[in-house]
Amino acid sequence: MAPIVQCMGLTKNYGRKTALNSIYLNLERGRIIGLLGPNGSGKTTLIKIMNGLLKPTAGEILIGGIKPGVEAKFHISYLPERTYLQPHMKVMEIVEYFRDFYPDFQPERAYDMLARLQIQPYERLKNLSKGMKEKVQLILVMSRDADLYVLDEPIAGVDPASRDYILHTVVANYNRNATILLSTHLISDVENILDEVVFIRQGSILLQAGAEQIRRNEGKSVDQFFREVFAC
Amino acid sequence: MLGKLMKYEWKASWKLLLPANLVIVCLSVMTWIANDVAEKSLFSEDRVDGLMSGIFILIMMLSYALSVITVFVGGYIYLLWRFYTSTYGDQGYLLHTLPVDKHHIIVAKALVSAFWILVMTLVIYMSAWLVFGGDTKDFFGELFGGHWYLPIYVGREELNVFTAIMAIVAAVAGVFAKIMQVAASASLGQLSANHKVLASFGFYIAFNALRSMLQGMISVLIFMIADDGEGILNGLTWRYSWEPALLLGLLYSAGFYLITWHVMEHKLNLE
Repeated sequence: MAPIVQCMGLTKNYGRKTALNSIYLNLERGRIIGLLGPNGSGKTTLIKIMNGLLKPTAGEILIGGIKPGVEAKFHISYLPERTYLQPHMKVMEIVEYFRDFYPDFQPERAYDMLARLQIQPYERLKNLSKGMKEKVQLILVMSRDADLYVLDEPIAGVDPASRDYILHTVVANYNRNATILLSTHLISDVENILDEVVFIRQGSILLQAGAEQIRRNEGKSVDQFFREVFAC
Repeated sequence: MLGKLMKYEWKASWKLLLPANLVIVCLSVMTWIANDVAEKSLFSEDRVDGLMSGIFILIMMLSYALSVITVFVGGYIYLLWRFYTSTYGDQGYLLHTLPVDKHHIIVAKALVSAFWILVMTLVIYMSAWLVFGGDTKDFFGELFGGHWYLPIYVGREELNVFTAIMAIVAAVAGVFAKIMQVAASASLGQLSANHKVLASFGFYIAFNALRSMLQGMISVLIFMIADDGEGILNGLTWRYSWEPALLLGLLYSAGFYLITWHVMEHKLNLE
């Protein structure tokens, strides 16, 4: 079976600035992978290209062996770093929206998670706090049985309790044969759930290795190793 | 998927635009009734009473006109704003990650927007008819009798049901052309690294200029081949007949549609 993500010479320029510099990267199925790098390293650009929100300047990317497009979008469940829901919609309307468009969406799972957070289905999104909206969005994304979950900075700017909730939700709900690609620069919070890490700096892949392999070979945590590698 | 996209476009738009149209209807009826009552005392022997009635009618008419313009312009701006934010704003992150064809996205948005623009236009026409003294009993008779579509009729010799229907079809094509012009402008504007909204306005103005230039060139062409007074008149009025109006409407719609689709499919830039 083809890797879930294959990047071949993937390059993205914004004018004269190079955001991704000829990246070669394969992500295998059934892994939780941390895409780790400082702000501005190219994480979000790579994720947006995977989801077809940006077009590469050069090179190619394949999702499950196919180019980003309608078919690939059936396989990816994407959580962007911003709120993309229409504020006037009720929670149950947005659940209905996901059910209408994604055949692999499981509404029972979504309602179960919403109930645990005591979010009522008839509440309008605009009446929820920013943190709650982000959780609703995460619940929607994790209620799909996708092959690839792409989570862009899911724990940035949230309190420690919410971080625990988010990570628990991710680990408890993903399809076990699927891959989770999780971008962050808050390594210590996610280190325990990662199978593999990809370090990215200035648009280039610096390292791709198993989390356990780093701990064993370097004799330190991924977080400590990351701080050394990216020390200013 | 087209049906589902249209369902959500409809759901997102009716909550604002249906009440807006109802406001126009209510205002029209209120103004009509108020004017009717005031008119009776307008020519009364009591001069003060007559003067007050005149001022009242003037105020009612002015507030009616102002409200209708506000609702229409507001509705139009809302449609533009909704197109931009749901396609290239934050909500675009959801729209463009749905497993749907880009053609369906464009068609769904264009159909729902066109529906609302046509509804608003019809409501305003009927409203003006009521307020400014039309005979409401003969509304549909007058509608097809050749008044409102006169602007795209000048230069023709015969008025009949066929030309009236074709004029309506041409007007609908014109509405689609405008909607697609907005879509193409927004799509090209989002390619800009900075000031995307400003760039969209810039493209819209540039497209307007191009349209004027094209129409001007056709007029000049007709002048050049004209050898009599009628030919010169045709050079001035050609685009007000339904045939060229329909042709240009379809041509612009297709051109702007292709630009929008190309950008969405090959150049999407949600930085």
